[in-house]
Amino acid sequence: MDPVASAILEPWSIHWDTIFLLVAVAVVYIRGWVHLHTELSHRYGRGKLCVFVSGLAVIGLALESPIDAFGSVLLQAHMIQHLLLIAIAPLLLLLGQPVLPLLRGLPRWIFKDALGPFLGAHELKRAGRAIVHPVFTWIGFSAAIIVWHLPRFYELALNSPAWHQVEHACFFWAAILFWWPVIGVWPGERVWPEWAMVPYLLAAGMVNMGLSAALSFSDHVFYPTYATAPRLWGISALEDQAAAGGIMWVPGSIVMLIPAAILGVRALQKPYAGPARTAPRVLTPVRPGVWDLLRTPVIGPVLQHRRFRQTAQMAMLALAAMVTWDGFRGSQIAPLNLAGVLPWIHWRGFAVIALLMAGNLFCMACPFTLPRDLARRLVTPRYRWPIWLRSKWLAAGLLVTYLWAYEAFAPWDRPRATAWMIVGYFAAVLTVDTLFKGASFCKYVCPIGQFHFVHSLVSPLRIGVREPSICRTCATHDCIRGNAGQRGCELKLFQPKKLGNFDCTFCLDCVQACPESNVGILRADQTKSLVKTDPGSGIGRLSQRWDVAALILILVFGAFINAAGMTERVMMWMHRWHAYLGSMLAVVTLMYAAGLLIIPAALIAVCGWSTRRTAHISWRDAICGFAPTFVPLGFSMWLAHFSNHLFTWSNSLAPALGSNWIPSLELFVLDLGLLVTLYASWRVAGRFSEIPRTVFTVSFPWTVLAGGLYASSIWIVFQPMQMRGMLMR
Amino acid sequence: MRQRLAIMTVIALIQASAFADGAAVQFRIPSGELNVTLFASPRPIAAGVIELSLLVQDKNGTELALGTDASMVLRGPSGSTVSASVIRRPAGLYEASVAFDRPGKWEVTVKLERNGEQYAIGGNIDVAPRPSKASSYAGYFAFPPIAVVLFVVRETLLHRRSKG
Repeated sequence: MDPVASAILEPWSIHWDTIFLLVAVAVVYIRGWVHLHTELSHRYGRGKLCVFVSGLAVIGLALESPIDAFGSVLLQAHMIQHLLLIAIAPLLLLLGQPVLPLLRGLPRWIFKDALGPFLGAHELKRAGRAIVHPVFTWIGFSAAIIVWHLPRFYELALNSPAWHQVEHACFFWAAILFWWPVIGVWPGERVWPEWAMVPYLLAAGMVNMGLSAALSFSDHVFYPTYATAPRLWGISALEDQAAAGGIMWVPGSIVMLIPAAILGVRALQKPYAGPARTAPRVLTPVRPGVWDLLRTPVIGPVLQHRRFRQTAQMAMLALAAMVTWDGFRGSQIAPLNLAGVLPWIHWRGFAVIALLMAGNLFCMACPFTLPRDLARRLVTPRYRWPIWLRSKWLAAGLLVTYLWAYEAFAPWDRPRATAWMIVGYFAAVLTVDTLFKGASFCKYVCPIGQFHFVHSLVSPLRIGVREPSICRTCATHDCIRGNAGQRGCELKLFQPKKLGNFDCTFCLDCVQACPESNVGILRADQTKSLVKTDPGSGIGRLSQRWDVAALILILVFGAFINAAGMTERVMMWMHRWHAYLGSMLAVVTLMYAAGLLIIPAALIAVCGWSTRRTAHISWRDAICGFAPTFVPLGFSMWLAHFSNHLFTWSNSLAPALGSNWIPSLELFVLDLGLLVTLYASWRVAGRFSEIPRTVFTVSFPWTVLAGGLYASSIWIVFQPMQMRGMLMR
Repeated sequence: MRQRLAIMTVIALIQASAFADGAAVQFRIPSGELNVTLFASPRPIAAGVIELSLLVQDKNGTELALGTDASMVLRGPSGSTVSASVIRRPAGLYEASVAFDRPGKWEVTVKLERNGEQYAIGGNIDVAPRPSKASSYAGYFAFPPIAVVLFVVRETLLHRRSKG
């Protein structure tokens, strides 16, 4: 390879975030196109899909190929890049008629709730009409082309990556606007008739030609950077400039002339009818069909197979057995032992990612319930779970104990302790569930289950009824009672009255039991689960339960204190107190008593008191109503923390992936967590008043609390971390 | 018309990440029979570890000047001197990783020896301050306030519509 090319290319790398974004846009477009291809097949044929995806591919080519890298030493490479961004990509994107597919492809709540008010605003409609007016778009395009090719500005972009991005932004945006009236993006009206686009294009072509000619025929190099750049493949700076001018001239003109010719011919073939004055089309809203994961190809049949859950549980049981065996018999250096790696790095990381992407998949494949089911074939449980324990208080207490013990005894660093924990867990499950009927352990005891129950409130999938009218005529209620061939829901969740994912183990017993096959895995409306006040089967009103509020708040504050425990500053602080008190156990106990109980209780009391005063409601309404809104923020902290371990470990296997993306991902997740929490708080406050000012006042203390937690999460993310359980350089 | 704004928002998201990089030419200086070009990456050059690549060509800049020994000395803005360990690469380049510990103008002296003749070529590299974490992740910090402002606008529009 040419040494100059080698010097340029060796440090060059692909930006995966750009690729990810392009793929995401393609997915949204394809999703919308699939709908429209059925409904408006004459407008949305396969050609539209091809050109739009090609447009995205061209952007990828321009930005993420060596073309950009060579642009710093070769003007013609830079010119090709600009040509792709100015002429090819926008033209292809707009030929794909992207407006409707992209809107239809977005989740309905984004389109309707988030974008709806903006799309309907008169001011924005007027602004939109103004910026795609051909006069504006032509002037904007020509100005962008001319100004950025002036040596002063071109040099600025060459010498500053930030200005280079601004230059690309100007070109791309100006081009999108320029091509908008030419293509006549649908659904929209043409401001000028189609034939007027012929002079519009030719005039723009003249500007392009003038610039190209100047570059091609000049006897001096316009841009000093290229004059002093090392010569690639022996091409002199002047030859390079002339070639760049040629690229701008010939392909640049062709891109203008072909559409001009097509539009000209079309104008000659039909009589002029003036600009379209038809009323804006009102698109009939299409009732969204009930999407069901169980009805998707491949995944659906696999999930519904009678042996699917058992197989998943057996796999997890085998892993648990391996972890336990290695924990007892293997090396006691945590990173070298399955008990130090699998549960504390992989399992936790994958479990939170599964919650984010799907739902409570851990409980679905729970290894603890499989031996329990086997044991119940020998021993039939005789007792009902005591009424006074039918709440989440016991589980909340166990969760506090677990979080404290995690810091106090560091099981992540002691494989044998981890193995004992697993054995203890199995023993507890077997004891409780061979004595008590139903899924008493899952519902009232299991701290891991509570973690998943609470956080599955923000999962995108839920088990629910496909068609409610079928349930109205059902007399057998197999989903909860079971039948001869299949047990019903052991957690006493009656499908027609089930609300969200709380207490649902995703065991699919109800799916198997329903004789009408009317239970599926459906999309969940996460925000509704957090703000609803309706009673749900088996759980009552979440917004009225002190035990659930306590459980949620322990998990929320637990997320922060657990993550903070691995930061260097907190550890140094703990060591200082250790020296002072003489016992690390006392330090951890004090830290968790303060961070998990006393400080949260005080903060929640202040927020609740403020809300009581402004909304004139009870303590229960104030605290239990707002507590669930903090689930997204807490979950985002758990996700950032656990995925940090998982991805850092992945990077230790594949360092080429780099690690800069991990904090970005964590911050993005935390941002989303904060925003969903703020939105849910606003919705809860809206229950008490319709006046925006009052809603703001009611939600204000909770907003401040959420902001404080978010700030602390940012602090945690940027602290030096002790990567527990990992061998790090 | 409303859809236009939506589509432009999506396209803006695509464009927002419009950047890519490679090595940037820092200086290209002829010296006698040789022509020396210094590349650096990543861009922009900020305090921290920077990969430097040195290309040594003949005076016309068309052929590699093979058989050259190269070394590099860098003097920081505080006057401290760093000797870079230069490695010869198969492609005919010389490479060095240099830790620029502080921002400012760094003087780079490239010493070359070829056929018994010695050359010393000097140039400057402007090193920007190391970006703070806050500025590196500014977009993530700006996202929540922007979303909140947009939400307030949305609520105002809804409120106005419900009154109208």
